[in-house]
Amino acid sequence: MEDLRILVKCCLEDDHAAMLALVDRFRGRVYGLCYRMLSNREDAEDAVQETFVRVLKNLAKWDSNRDFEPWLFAIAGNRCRTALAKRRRRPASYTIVEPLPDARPDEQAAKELTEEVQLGLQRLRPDHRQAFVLFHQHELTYEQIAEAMSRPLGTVKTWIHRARGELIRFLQEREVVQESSYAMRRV
Amino acid sequence: MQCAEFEIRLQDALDRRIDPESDDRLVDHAERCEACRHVVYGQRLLLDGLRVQAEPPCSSHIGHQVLDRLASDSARRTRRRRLVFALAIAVALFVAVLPFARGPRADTATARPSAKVLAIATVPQPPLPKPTMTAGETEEFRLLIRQLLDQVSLRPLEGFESVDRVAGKSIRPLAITFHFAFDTLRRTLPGQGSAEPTHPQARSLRSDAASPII
Repeated sequence: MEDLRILVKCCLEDDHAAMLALVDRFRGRVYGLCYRMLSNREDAEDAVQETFVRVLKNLAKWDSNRDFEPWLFAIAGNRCRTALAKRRRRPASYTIVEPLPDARPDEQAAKELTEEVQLGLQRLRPDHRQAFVLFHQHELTYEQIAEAMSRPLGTVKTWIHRARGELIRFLQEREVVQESSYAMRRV
Repeated sequence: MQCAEFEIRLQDALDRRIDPESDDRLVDHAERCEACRHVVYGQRLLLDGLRVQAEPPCSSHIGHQVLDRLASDSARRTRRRRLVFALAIAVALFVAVLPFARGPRADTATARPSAKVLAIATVPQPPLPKPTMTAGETEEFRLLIRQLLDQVSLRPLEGFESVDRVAGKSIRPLAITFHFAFDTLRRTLPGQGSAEPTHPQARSLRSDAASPII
């Protein structure tokens, strides 16, 4: 956290190397969220770019006594929702889940599962999706997600529970969850 | 355990990032209930799918693209600020020059109140009475003025001569000017209307300064 504060301080002094370092440090995680939200590489990259432009412009507004990531993901989430709203306004708007690179035969099942999960994510409401991805992929706490999304803690919990339920129902509809392949395991 | 309790316990485990299948009570219930077993299996698949889910790599140039955007935004802001400044100066100049460029005020005629408005606003004044003097008063006034003129005329205007000499022909001689004034006064006296006017220029006061004017 201390090194992050120093990095931010250097960015505020218009140090370009520090700005590049800050972007490099978080671009993967921001891109992960944007890609899960938008399901399109170009749109996700645009959203990441927009996010960091806003972050660097408004860096002075970040309260250094609080976590950086919720603030960063709040901006990224807003950019993604704006991109989704623009996409809805476009006449020929449709979402294509980009196919992942070819995998080996033993990885084929995992690849298919991944694609199904991504399809399921696209069916969620954007705010449910964002909360779910932040919790399960970015491992933010409920408190951090509530802060990032400017919503009460209970609302965020409800959204994530609903997202889980909807995703499981989707996987069942797609026959990904099959009785024959299933046996309970005791960990 | 009932299914509702199972659902709550499952969500709680997931909230605490605990594998549901590490909870014996959940597993016991799931083994007996097919619907709940499906839910546990679905959760396992979902979490597995998320874990292995790989996104396409993010461009490594994104940092430089962000810096380029910041620079172009900053340049655009500067240009906009300059434009606004120039516009403000132009407007200020225009406002300052406008009164001089207008010429005679066109709005004076419109600003003047109409005759109707004046008629309403003006309180009619009663006509002043004509000053009248009785014949005795007039005669007394005429005599007083005549005496005054006689006194003035008896004194030679030598005081003016020295001034007129110095001034030469650059100004009208003071003696003529005063003579003209006295003559005008004399002729406007009541009862003097038939008096023959005296043309001061016809007489040379310089040569006849000692003679009475009237």
